[in-house]
Amino acid sequence: MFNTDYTFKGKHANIVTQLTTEIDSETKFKLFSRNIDVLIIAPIVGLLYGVTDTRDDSGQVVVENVKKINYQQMSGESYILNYNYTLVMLLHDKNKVSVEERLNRAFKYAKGTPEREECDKVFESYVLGGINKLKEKLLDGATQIDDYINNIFNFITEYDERYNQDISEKDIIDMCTNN
Amino acid sequence: MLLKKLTLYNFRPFKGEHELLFSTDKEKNVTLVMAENGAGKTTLAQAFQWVLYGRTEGFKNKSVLNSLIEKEMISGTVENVKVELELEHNGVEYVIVRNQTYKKDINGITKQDPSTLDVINKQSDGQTNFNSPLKNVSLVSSILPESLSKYFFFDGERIEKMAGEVNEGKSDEFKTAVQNLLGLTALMKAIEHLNPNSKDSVIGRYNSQIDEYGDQQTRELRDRIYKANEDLENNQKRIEDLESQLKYYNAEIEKAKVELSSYAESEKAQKQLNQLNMELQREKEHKANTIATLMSNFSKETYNYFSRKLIKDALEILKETDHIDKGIPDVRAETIKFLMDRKKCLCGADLSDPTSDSVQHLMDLLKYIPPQSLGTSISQFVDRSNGNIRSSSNYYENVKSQLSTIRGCSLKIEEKENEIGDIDKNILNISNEKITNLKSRQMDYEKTVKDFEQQLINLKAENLQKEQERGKYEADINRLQMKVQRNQNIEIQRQYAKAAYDVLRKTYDYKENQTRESLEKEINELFKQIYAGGMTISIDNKYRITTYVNELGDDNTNLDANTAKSYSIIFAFIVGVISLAKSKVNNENDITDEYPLVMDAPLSSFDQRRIKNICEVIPSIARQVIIFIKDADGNIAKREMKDKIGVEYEVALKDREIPLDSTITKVGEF
Repeated sequence: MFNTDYTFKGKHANIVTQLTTEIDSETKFKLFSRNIDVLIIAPIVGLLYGVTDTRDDSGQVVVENVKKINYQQMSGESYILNYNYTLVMLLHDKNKVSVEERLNRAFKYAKGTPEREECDKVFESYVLGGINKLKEKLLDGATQIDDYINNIFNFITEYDERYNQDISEKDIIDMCTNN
Repeated sequence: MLLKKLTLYNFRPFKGEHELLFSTDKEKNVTLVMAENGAGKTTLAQAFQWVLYGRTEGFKNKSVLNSLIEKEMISGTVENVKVELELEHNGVEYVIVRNQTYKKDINGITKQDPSTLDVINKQSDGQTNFNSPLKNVSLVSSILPESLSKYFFFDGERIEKMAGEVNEGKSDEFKTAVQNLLGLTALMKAIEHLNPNSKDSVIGRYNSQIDEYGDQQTRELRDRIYKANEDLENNQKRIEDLESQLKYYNAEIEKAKVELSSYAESEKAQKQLNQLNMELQREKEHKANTIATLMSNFSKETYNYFSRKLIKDALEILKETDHIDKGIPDVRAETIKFLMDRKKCLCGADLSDPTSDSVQHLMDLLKYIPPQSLGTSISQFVDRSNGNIRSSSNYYENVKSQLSTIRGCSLKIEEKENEIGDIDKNILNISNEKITNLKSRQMDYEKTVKDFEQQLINLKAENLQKEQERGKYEADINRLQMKVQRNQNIEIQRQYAKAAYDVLRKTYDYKENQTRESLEKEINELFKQIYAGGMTISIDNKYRITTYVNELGDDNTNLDANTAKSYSIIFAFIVGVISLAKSKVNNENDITDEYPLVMDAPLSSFDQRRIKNICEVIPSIARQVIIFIKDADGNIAKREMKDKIGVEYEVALKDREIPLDSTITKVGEF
């Protein structure tokens, strides 16, 4: 899925546009430099918040509400995109689907197979859900730089409080070593 | 004055002591001294001059010591010369004695001491008074002033001299006689003393003392003082003007200072504003930089940070599986298939033989690599997870710190902006413009004040100098005014002197004229007696004598007419003077007594009739007549004056072969 162009459409394209637009004309700051940066973080956020969405094909497709990531850029970041894909496949439906199946989704189903295509949809749904969440957490209520900073901090703090305080970096490293 | 006795001691030709007793009889008032040639006739006449005044004018040899005695003197010896004159004057008897000492030194040279004068006056009670030398001279002068003496002691040589002058038309003796007569000498001396035409006279000296340039200099100095005063006045006006302006400008400077100080707060506020703006800018930059860092971190690292939870969950799932095997990372079944189809391994081994060990080894590997084996994929995933975890370890702390910094900056920015907002912008705007203007004006005023102060210093210095100059001019004027005052005093004195001179001159001229006329008249009266009206003279105011001969005829036949005429005039003149003097006795101070006539008379110059007339006239005019006369004339005189001769002497050499040793012999007393 990551060796072709990728296109955001509709409301997601709008959100991606806002996330990659200068939020302060004076400092020229952007929340994300590139569209692909949104594509990288969006499935993680979607998965963390358990939010998904479907592609917004409503309305007329115009240039303004299409955000396209070209193939070359996708190839350049395919390593991390694939890693994200693996994470999503391993943890999606983890209470409903067997580990064996999730391992297959993560590592085994080859391109072009129906299983893989189903998995790709799942992955994209998290991407789109994540975009929605990013909008909610970063863009909503923000009109100036300090608002964005606050949103960022609140967003990160929320994650920290919800997840990170229980994570021991040492345990993870140990797990990596022992696996 | 009545001469009584003349005593000579070693005086010229009269060796030893000799004496002449003069006739004091009023009738027989003539003493006739007859002398042979060379016996000492003239010496006797001159003895009077010597004893009275110490004069030796007529002597060729100034030594009065008898030559024989002098010759006989040996070295170291002393000889004395003495002449003693006894006389009566105004009822007092005097003995006038003149001594002179002669010494012969070791070289045989005779030296003389100055002569000494003694005057002994005998009072009526017989007492004798001796006087001091100075008093003696004064006494002699009071008896007969030297200036007058020559008319009364009249020697032959002077007669000749005067005769010559008369013949030449000169008449100094007349002039002098008139001047000397009867106090006119004093008057003349007073006139000469005052004479305005003489540089050395009183008036001449006054003239020289008067500074004729004083007034002009004073005028010039006054002009300078006026100029200095004018300058000083102008300078003073300028000084007052400058001081007034200085007062104004100093007041303006003070006002500007006060005003400026009132704007100090604004200036302070301006500084504060600048400081706040600077700090605000710094905070903004700090905040912007921190935001930049935060944004950069957010954009790059949030993914890893958020992944941690998912990685942990994923690893926990994988932990429960045992699918991790010995596969070759990233080598999938498709890779092996590709090598088998190529029939050549990555290492170059030939894979064409399906039975070869290499092919068998690759076929075994298929069991351990995806898709047949998930182990490798899982293993790779774990490895990547390990890397991801490590890169986000401090993410949250960093963001928190950055956010804290950003918030701190925001607070400070707000604070600064509030402070800036608190500053009254109106004051700032007004004060800036006003301060600039005020400072500029203050500087202008201060420059003007400095300039004016310098001008004041210069003007005051100039005034000081001008005052000093004026003081000097005034001092000069005072000095000149003193001169002018002195000039005025001198002028007054000069006018007095001039007036005195005029009065004296007038008096003198009058008296002189009167005296001259009297003398002329007297002489002509005498001429009437001598010449019986045959000759008259006139003396003009220049004392030129003009003779008018009315009667010549036989009178001039046996005598040189001119000589006779001259001698006649002289005699007449002398006798006239005596006569005039006699007539003035009671009126004038100078002539206090009658005077004798002592004369060396060369009667032989006259003809018989004139001698007779002269001999008649002379004794009648003078109170006492002493005539020294040579033998020949003596006899004529003796004959003509026989009734008048009281005493007769004869002077002769003791020995005709030995000159310079005469003797005086009384030959008769009648």
